[in-house]
Amino acid sequence: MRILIVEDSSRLRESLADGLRAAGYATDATGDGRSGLANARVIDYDLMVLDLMLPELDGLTLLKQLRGFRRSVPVLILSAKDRVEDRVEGLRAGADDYLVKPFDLSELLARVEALTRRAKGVVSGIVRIGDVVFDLAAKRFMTETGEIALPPRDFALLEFLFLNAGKTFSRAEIEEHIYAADRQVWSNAVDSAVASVRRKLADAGVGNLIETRRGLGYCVGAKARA
Amino acid sequence: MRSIRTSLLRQIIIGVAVVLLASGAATFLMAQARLRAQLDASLISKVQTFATLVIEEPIHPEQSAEGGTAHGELVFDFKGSIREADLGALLRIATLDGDILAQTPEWPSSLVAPVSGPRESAFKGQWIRMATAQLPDGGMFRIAAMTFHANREMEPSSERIGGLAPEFGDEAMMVGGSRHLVVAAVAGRLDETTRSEAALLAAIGTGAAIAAIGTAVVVTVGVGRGLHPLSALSAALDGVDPAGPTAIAPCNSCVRELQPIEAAINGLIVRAREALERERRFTDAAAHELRTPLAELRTITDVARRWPSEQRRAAAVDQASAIGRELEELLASLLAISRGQRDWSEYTRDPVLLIELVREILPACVAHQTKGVGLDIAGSESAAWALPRSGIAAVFRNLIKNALEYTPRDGVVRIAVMSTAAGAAFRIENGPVSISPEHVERLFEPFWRGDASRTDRQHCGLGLAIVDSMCEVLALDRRASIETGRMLRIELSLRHGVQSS
Repeated sequence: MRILIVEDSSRLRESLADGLRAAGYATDATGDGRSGLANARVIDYDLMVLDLMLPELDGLTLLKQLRGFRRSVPVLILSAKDRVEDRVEGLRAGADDYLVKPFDLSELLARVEALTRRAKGVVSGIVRIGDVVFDLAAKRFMTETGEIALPPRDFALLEFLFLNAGKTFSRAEIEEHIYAADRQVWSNAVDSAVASVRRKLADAGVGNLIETRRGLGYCVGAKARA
Repeated sequence: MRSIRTSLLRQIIIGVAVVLLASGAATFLMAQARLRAQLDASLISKVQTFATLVIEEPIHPEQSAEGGTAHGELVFDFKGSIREADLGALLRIATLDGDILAQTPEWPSSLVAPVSGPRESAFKGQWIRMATAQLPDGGMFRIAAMTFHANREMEPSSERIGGLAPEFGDEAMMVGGSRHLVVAAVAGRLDETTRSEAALLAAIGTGAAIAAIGTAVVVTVGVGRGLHPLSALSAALDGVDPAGPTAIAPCNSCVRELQPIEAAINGLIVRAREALERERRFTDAAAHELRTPLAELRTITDVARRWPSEQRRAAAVDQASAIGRELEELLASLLAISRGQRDWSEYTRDPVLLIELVREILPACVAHQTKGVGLDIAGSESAAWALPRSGIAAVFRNLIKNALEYTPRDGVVRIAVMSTAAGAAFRIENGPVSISPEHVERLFEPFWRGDASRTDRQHCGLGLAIVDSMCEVLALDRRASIETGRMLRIELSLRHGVQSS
């Protein structure tokens, strides 16, 4: 899952990115509204964390313009403006959630998780495909025999495919969602990650969960989505 | 607590009481004088009447032949009763030698008719004296005493003296022709007059009391009604919502005298609301400004705690320390604005040389400036302001630091001190800046971050707000503008009417 952070405070921007990365998200971060809008227009982010008081282009204008370009990325406004009118204005401008600074990191992570889940059409915190259960809150993949231990890159790939179960994604699309812009990505990185996940799943006694659709990409649970 | 109603009532009632007392006393004294005058006139009239009835009888021819100096006998030619009940007064007629010709039986022995002293009137040998006598038994009398020569009855054939005797029927009478001096006294009791005066006094007192009570009632009601608009104004003030959009609603029943007060109160309310609104905006801005560093602090520490690593922990400590320093700066700036308005309310007026002060504070301002901003200082060495040195220094320090901090790399800051006809002036320019002219005044609002250069969190956004606050206290006129070459210019001069050095 790839998240764009648009926040003018460099310290907050970096610590947020650090925390979200640690929580398993790929993050891009920018400090002004204009570059934030440019990023959001060209990359299909799974979520945007947006400050309102931004240089060059304020957050509300950015949001309205983004919605004008028919980009439906979920947006979580993170602002020091705490008045009801500010929150109402933000939500009416197209935001999906509003969190006032200062905030608790666990609350932010819960909201991020809820927003991404909702955006993918997942109604509960548990996604079951075949013999594998994905607990969104605990960030764990489980089988009847126990947890499937996955490194961050593999986890991000499987999480993305689980939350978009039934949909086929090309290598480029998967790459866009699981790698941040500042990461060096090799051309076979997605194939390598898919192979790694398949090995881990096989070790856990799970059959071929990730289907390869020749010429199209990869897909999980085309017929069995919970 | 003093009350207008009580004060008005007290003053009006005391005033009315004094007027009633004075007018009552004047009325009584005039009436008393009139009563006494009437009594005196009555007594004088009576004594004059009785005096005409004292006659010296003609001298017998033999007596006249014997010496020619004999006097006739004095008689009181009155046939009626001279009792007090009949006369309404006491009567005593006697010669100057004390021979009583007539005397009311009730005439007290201790009552003496005055025969000397000031005379009430004198006419052709008649002298009337008035006196008031108090007897040992307490009785008070008013006496009219007339000393006169009795009339002399003449024989028809007798010689007439001076031709003064008028004719009364068949008898010839010489008025005052007798050589006997007679004292006729009529005394009237003052008891009746005193009773009349007491009754008059009681009537006046009763009238005054009724008038006083009536006045008190009328005044109380009148004052109450007259002060009703104050109560209405008070009720209107009670109904004013401190956060409401309007002041006191127009008072239809307001009296003319209260309209200026109402207008003044409305003005005060408007000013107070504006001040409260400014304070609210300032507090909002301050709270808003605190939210981001607090969010930074919490996120940094939360991440470090949730995913602990030595690198994260060290970074979190460093960043928390930096945030603490920034919060300190924010606090100091807020306090500078708050305290600035009272610390220099009283100050000495020693002239401060402006260029000297700029040179003094400049090193500290440029100490951390590493952007290669050019600095140009020029101006009059003698230009000075008679203002507190610490206040001017604070203004200059904030202006110079602001200019250096918000001037881009390779930009320029120009400082000039000028002596003009209107007095000394200070000017600072920096640029190029990306502020539009319509936003220039907003630079002086607390926490305003209008352009890209002003959005970093290393600066609290209060420097120019402090300048603005201090200029107000120091009575300095401040002008800001965007000049050619996108230079932000801020000029300071003494407010018109403030003495320059």
